[in-house]
Amino acid sequence: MLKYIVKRLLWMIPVILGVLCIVFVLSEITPGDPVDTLVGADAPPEVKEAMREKLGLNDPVYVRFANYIVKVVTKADLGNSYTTNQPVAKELMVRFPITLKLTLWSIFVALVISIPLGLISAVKRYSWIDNLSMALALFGVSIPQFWFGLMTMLIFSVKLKWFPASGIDGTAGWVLPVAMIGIGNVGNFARITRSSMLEVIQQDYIRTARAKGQKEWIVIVKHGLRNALIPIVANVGNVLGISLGGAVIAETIFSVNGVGKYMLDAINARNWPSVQGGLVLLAISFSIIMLLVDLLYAAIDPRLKSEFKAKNKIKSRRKAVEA
Amino acid sequence: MKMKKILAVVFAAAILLSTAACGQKAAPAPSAASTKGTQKLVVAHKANPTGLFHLTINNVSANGPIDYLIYDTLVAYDSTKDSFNPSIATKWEYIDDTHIKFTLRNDVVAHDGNKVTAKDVIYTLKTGQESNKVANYYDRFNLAECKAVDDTTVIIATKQADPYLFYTLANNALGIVCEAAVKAGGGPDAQQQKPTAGTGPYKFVSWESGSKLVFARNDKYWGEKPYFDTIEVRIITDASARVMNLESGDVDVAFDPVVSQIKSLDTKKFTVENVKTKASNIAFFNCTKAPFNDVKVRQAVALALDYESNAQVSMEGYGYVTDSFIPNLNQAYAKPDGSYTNYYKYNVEEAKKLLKESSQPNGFTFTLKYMENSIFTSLAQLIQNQLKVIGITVNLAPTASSVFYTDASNGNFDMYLAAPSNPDPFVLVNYFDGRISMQKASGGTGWRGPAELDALIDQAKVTMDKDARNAIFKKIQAIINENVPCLVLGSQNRVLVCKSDLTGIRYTPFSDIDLSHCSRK
Repeated sequence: MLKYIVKRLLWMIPVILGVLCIVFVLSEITPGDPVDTLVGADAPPEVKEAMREKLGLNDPVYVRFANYIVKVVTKADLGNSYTTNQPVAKELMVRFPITLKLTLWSIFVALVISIPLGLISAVKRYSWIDNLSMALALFGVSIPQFWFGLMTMLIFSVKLKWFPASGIDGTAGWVLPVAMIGIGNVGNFARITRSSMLEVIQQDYIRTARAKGQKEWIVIVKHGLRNALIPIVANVGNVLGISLGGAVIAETIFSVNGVGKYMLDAINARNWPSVQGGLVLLAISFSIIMLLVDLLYAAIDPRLKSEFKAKNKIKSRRKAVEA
Repeated sequence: MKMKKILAVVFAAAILLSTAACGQKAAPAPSAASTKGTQKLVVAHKANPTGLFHLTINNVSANGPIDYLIYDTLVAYDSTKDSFNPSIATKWEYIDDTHIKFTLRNDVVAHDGNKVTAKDVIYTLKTGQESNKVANYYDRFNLAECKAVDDTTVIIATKQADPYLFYTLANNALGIVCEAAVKAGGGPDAQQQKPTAGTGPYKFVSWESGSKLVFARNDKYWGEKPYFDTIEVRIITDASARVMNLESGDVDVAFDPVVSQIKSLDTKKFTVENVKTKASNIAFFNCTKAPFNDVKVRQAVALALDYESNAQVSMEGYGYVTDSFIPNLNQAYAKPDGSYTNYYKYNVEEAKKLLKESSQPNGFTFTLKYMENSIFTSLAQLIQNQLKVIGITVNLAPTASSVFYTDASNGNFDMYLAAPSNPDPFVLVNYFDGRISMQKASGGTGWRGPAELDALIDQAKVTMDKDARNAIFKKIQAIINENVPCLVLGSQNRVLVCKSDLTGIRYTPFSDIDLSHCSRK
């Protein structure tokens, strides 16, 4: 297993290099000049030229790309932000824990609501409970997040005054942004739970468990849900990865100073060091999440671990025979 | 089983660690309201500042309301009278057209305790000019002839007679900094993050970039004691969210609200500040290429637009119609008196007739660039619909700010929308002065007017007598308005909403909001 983890970690290197390469090319072909952002569009041409020289923008593309890669790899230096002149790594490290916390809590909330909802729907298929929960799930999937965020703010901050409308200074400040992202994911998770459970509860081993006289909740949770978890975990992994970079709407509405908002501002200002730095961070995070998801598969379904072990045994036997 | 436990622990640890990393406090968020005798003002601002040392950042306009808390200017602007009051300078006199002698207060100290003298005024001008980041404000000074006579007397020299200099002197870009404080605080770069060299009524406390800034009362302030113990400026980029924050009581003031939301606010609890400005919404033609290099095409387009209803619809009642490229509130504005043909009048039949006589009798297609905001989006759609009637197709191109400014400066557009807010009419005139490139003017039209116009502009620039200068401006406006290098689409008001108990909100020459002397009734 350790070998597998190391292998997967090594695979992250070409992934991150690929991300860097794509972002660099995109920054090259997008119209507009970052120097205008730095010195102002109305600055004299000689000032603009001096800034271009200082930033190395007059160097050939491959030189700039190579310089950037060398700095990132050898010094973990993601460059300085064009707008604030602060190290991008420092700026990201302030924001990343905020986004991570927002994402993890929102996924936790979504799972707590959606898994029971999906289970009940599957067990009580075509009943009014199923119809109601799937209607709610459809509502969750369909509502625009932006509108939903503003509505939660209107109801819970403006009318009821239960939670602050912006800022995350206290626990109460986290409730609305977490709820906004979390409830947005409930529909997605609940529908997957339901369809996965429907498939599982028709399997022979469920029938066998029932025939053995197991209590129904044990049949459903232990035998059913555990086997239905693989697609749910895969989906949660994807959503988690996407949310780390894509909680922009919640961050914008509730004034949460996270990575998504940071990158959005950076894109608008053509602040390429910040965009590149943010993408490197997200690529690393996404790769680690995917690795964790794969490990979770093995934990949930021992058959996958056995398959992996069996494959390794066959490989080592082949090597021994060849030797 | 072991792996499962490990993963469960990893997930739980991730949640806990991220919670701990955020510096979480269990206490509820402090509200905007005062607590136990302390006075706190919470402001919802739309943009994160790029830095807090105004002399070396290029985008000073986004910093306006923040800069006025930290820095003082030589003179203060009175928007109600369109005049200037003493600030750090107690009095001033013109030595000649290009030299002004200012007498300064002798009790001004920077936030770090260093005394501010006339040398600091020179340092401010020098740093601003050398940084080249705020060139449009500082280029006008003749540094070689600016000098500190003694601690409280300074002579400021300009390169040429500058009738509107005081508008610039009262702008946040000209906030005075203390040289000793800048050096003690680590230089201009360090000041960007932790400013200590200002003399304003509030001192910097903290800045969570993208989230909020906190300021505390400057107890050594030379003027009237600042009212609030702390001022917190929250960065809330979404306009609807800013208003909802106000309604929920989380903030006291919301800048630039969504106009449609204002109408539903409880008027007993909230005040809407709706102030006319000297900023105009202008559509700039690119006169260097077809089709807009033909004056008849431009005139036809001008006649095809319904200015009254466009202003009403786009600004929802929070603006006014203008009939010259210099807005009505500007000192240099001259009302069209019939001595020239005014094309800013809605007349579709005349527009069609002119287009037939032009180089584009069968109509044409062009692209309209603009930075997205509710007013520009609305104006762009209205222009598109109204020009369709006379056979002109408009493609709308909402453009990101960085690309927009580059395109405007490089002439890469057919038409673009902008809202210049500079009260100095020469800044507006520069857009139509064919001797100044689009690059230099940061946009404009590339239109080359008659030689008579060049002479009039030169003459106005050196005429210090207001009435004589305005008479020249009248002629300048006649020539420019008749040739229609741009469309004037109304002036928008500066709008903010705040709790009804707030008073003392001021407006700056550039229509920025100054909360530094704000208090509760």
